[in-house]
Amino acid sequence: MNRAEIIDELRDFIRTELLGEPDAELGVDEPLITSGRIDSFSIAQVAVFVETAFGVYVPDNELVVDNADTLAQMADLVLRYAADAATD
Amino acid sequence: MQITTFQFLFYWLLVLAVYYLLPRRPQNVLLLAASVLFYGTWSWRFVGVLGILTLANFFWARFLRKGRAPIPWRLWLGIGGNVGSLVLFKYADFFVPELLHLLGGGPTLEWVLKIVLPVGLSYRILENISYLVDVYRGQIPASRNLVDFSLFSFYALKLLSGPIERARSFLNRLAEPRLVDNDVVARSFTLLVIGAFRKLVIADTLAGVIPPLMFESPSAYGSWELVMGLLIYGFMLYNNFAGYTDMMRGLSGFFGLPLSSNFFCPFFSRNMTEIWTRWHTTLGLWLRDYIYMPLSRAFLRRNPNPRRWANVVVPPMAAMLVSGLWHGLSWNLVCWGGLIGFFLVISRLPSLWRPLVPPDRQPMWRQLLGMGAVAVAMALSLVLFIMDFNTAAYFYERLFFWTKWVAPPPLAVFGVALSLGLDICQYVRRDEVIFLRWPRWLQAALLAAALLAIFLATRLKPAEPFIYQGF
Repeated sequence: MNRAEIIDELRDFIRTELLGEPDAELGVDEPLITSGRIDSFSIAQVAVFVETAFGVYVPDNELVVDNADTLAQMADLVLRYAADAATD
Repeated sequence: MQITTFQFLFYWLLVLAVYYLLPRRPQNVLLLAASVLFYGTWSWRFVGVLGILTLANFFWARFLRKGRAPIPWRLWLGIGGNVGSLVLFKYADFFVPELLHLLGGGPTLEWVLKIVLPVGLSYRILENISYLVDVYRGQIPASRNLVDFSLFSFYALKLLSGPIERARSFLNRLAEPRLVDNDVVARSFTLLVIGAFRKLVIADTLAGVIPPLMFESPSAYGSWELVMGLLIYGFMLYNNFAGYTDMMRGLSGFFGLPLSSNFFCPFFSRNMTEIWTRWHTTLGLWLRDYIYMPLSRAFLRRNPNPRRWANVVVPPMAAMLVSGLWHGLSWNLVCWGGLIGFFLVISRLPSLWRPLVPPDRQPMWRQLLGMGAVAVAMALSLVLFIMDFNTAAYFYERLFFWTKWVAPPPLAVFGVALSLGLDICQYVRRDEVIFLRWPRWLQAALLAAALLAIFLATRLKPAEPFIYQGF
């Protein structure tokens, strides 16, 4: 699992399940929360998707604008917590 | 020591003067001593209660992660101890009379159970719970510095009514060198003046024009008067609380300890979710992180269908009911939380069948309609926030008996216009200290006008209390 694969899977999930637009353009640095495209209801869905798809638990208080506003930030969070879990 | 007094200002100016003479570690000791002394002016009993809670949480957090893996019962016991102390102190008024009645009463028992809520305890309990949860999850290590942790607990500029800070950021700030440059000073001073203006000029003016018995005996008023009274109260409450927060944030900035923002133009919220990012933000975020999100994830794990009713209804309702109970143990506040939760669920429903359209991308008419709908929803829920259940029911009933139009008092129009004007300035550039970008001569003129207005307002009548200190 590398960063690009995580971004691709997250992008597919967000486009299909949350935005309802499978063909929508979604850049890696495009803001999702601050732009209002996804809200706190949807963030919970992303969190559960990350748990099932990557087997990584990202704490709720990390899933905020500062850390998880873009696909790139979300992927970095997943990688960070995957690394933390591996060292525990 | 009341906040809107010169005594308070001079006390903290004196502390600030000594603060800058010291290196960083003793600075934390000084701030802790100054905070404890300040809290002691309210009541030394409060200091004792908060001291015990601080020590209990400090040592319990260290015990939480002792061993190879975190043990859930330790966390639950820690949360239970904090919630229990809140129940004991905050809800004593509710259950002590019942308990006395059941146990047969008696002067000794009455003395033992006559408990006063330490000011700010409700806010501290939330901070303690988030600290224990974050330590349990391994997101932060348990603090090993009792002075820093005690300062996190007692810090006077956030103790009385928030903002509700997180240990992970606040303790880090305490461990770092303080940076107070010209920009920080300018920003802090601006926040201090804006806060004092909101509280002493806008909120206190609006408080003066609300008829004193309107929310106790609504039968004496027509529907228009009640609608206006409700709107004026909404603006008063906002400026009262936001003013307090800005003053504390401004003052704290001089110590190089920035505090979290709690309000940003809430009357411009375009949907019910947005308002919780603009009104009492730190409470909204706490509820999101420690009630809403864990519940939402638990339900989604059981059944990932986002349209399932339990996934849509239970988490926001639970979060808002907790919010109601946190504000106080009474039916009207429980129903207030339930009503806000209901509005959140309703506003969520359309997005289950079609994608969310970000508010910024909506046409202007729809944004304005959204703002109007949020304002109506919040005003309706405010009735339950300020009145007991029976009076609130009567108030709602009276709202629909239309009476002839009555012009609002000029002072109310003036206060609301000032509040909206200030908000518009901040909202347009999404900057709470936008005034710092304006020409110097305009800054000077505005500052002079604001200080004169604050001076006159404090001379004309004594300052009203801070409403959120009651929680």
